[in-house]
Amino acid sequence: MNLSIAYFKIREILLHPLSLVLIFFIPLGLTLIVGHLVEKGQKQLEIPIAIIDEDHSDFSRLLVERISGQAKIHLYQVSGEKAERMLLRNDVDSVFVIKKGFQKRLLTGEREQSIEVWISPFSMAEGIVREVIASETARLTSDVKAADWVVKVYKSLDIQMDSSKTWNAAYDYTDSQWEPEPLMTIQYDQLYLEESGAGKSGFGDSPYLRLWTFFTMLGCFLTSDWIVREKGVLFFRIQSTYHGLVSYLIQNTVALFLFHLFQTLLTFYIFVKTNIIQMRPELLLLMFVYLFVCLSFSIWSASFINQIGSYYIVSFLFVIIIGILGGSFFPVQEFSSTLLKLSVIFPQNLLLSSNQMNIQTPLFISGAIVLWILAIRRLWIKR
Amino acid sequence: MDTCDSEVVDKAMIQIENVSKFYGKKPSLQGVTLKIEKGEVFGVLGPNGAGKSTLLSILSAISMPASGRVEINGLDLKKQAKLVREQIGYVPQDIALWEHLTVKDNLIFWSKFSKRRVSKEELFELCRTVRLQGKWNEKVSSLSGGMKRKLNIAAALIHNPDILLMDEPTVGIDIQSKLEINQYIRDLARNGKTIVYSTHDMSEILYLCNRIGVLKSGVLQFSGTIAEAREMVKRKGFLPNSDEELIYLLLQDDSLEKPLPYF
Ligand SMILES: Nc1ncnc2c1ncn2[C@@H]1O[C@H](COP(=O)(O)OP(=O)(O)OP(=O)(O)O)[C@@H](O)[C@H]1O
Ligand SMILES: [Mg+2]
Repeated sequence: MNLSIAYFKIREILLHPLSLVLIFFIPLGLTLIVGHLVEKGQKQLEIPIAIIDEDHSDFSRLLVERISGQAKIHLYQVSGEKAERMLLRNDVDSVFVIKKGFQKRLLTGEREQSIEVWISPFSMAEGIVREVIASETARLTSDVKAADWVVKVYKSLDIQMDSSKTWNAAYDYTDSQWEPEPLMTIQYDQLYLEESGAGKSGFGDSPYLRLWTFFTMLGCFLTSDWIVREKGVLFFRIQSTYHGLVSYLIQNTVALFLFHLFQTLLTFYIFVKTNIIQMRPELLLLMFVYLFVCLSFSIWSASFINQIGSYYIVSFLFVIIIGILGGSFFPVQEFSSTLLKLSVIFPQNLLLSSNQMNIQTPLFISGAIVLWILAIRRLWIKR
Repeated sequence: MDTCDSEVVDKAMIQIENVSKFYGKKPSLQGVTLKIEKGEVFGVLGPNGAGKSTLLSILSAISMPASGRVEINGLDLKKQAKLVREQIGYVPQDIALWEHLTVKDNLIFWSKFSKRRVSKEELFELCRTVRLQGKWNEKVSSLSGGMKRKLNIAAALIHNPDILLMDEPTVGIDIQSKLEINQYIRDLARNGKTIVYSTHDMSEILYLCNRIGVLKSGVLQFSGTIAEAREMVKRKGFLPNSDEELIYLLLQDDSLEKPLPYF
């Protein structure tokens, strides 16, 4: 096959800044920008609280450490005066004071009044934080109680032992029961997540890959507009030439695909470098498959529409709806089991849920090829 | 007027036998049979919607006839469409150019569609032929309507085809350029190219065409030379005073009992 049409198309894209913007800036640039904003927004969702440690004991330090390890809490450890000011200025939601004698009281089995809470009329999340702190404190008290009880039992059975060693061993053992999940918590959360495998995908809550699936599909649709523009007179005229319309369609699409492929490669490189995703060739391959599906899908859609204005409107709506249902913005599958079942038909699923080669991959590839052939058939009507 | 200087040739370049074509149930061509010889300029005439463009798009292997047979330079249109396409140059009624590309790039791009390799020098020469050499590096979107028409014609000539199928190619082109283009087309025919030319322009018909065909509602009502047309009209009892009046009478709506007077 004579490839000069593809070569010419590539040259045309390179010479036109707008097409480069559509191919590179939309999927990659917007993903990075919007992804960054979303991530920043997520950080702001943390609840700011202040904590004052008056006890300065091992237990109080451990408690502070564990609370600051909580994902949704942003902890300021400050002095009493500063905490009051922060609360008045609404810089923190609430203030928790670990009273002097906290450790001593826990060791003697007393829990009352060991922590004080200051709230303001604007405190909103104080209840949640109170729960978190109570749970951490309960962990400490139950550890102590368990250790005390073991030593007591040993003594009553007249077993020879080093009582402080036994106490420590019992304490550590009880404490370890809280890992990896807190005791007394029922595992009702994240059931859908586990099923769809999103939790295991290895990129956690990062919005970047999700957004990339959206913007890449948008980019594919926007760069397939030439079909709508040229399908009237130009395609008609091209059919009277030796190489003909099918060759033109194939070569143009291949040229376009190459650019998008390069964009995907660049995205993958940047994502790996910034630790958004893991360096896995399989993931890159899935991104390529996703791209191929998007491009076939957009070409197929373009083969139906004759007005360029309608094409832009329809593709925008299409991409947004598919983006929402496919999980480009948030894991919708978690909302209902119907959506979860439905999600397998959306190409985003390749990357966002399964995240590994499976039966879906060849199905999507063949589906894309079928769309491709249908599009060519539609555009190359025997008039 | 040299309308009858057709050369002696053995085989018809274009042979159309009983061709019909439908859009839905509505026929746009019905049982058209026609022969066009090598080196001839054949004028296709007829009112709007008569089927001229349909005929030309069939000859350029874009659409296939529903029934009938077309042979072009000995090749069967249905079975050897690809080979036929390399031999024809088609000027569509609508302008087929990439607006965002320059004149040069449009010519280069169209040249990529033919089998033959065409050098940039040849393309520039072609550009000069249609008097667009000054616009070589300009975008098509910045050209005037007439200039685009000229480029539309040039694009069909790129691969130096033996047969030219031109669908109202000179609409909107200024008188001076139109005369030049007509002269150029006549020279091409004299050099052995076969040209099928659809037009609504009286002077073009008379200047260019050796023979004409008159289509009405998809039916070929007449084909032959101007002299033959005059004979036919005479047989119907009309005596046109000029060639213009003759053409006028040929295209007259048959439903009228008496033709409207010609001014
Ligand atoms: N794509 C189409 N779909 C449906 N009908 C069509 C189509 N193209 C042409 N027709 C019909 O076929 C008939 C012949 O049309 P055609 O374009 O060949 O006419 P024409 O002689 O070239 O007219 P004009 O002088 O206006 O260019 C017309 O009745 C037209 O309505
Ligand atoms: Mg027409």
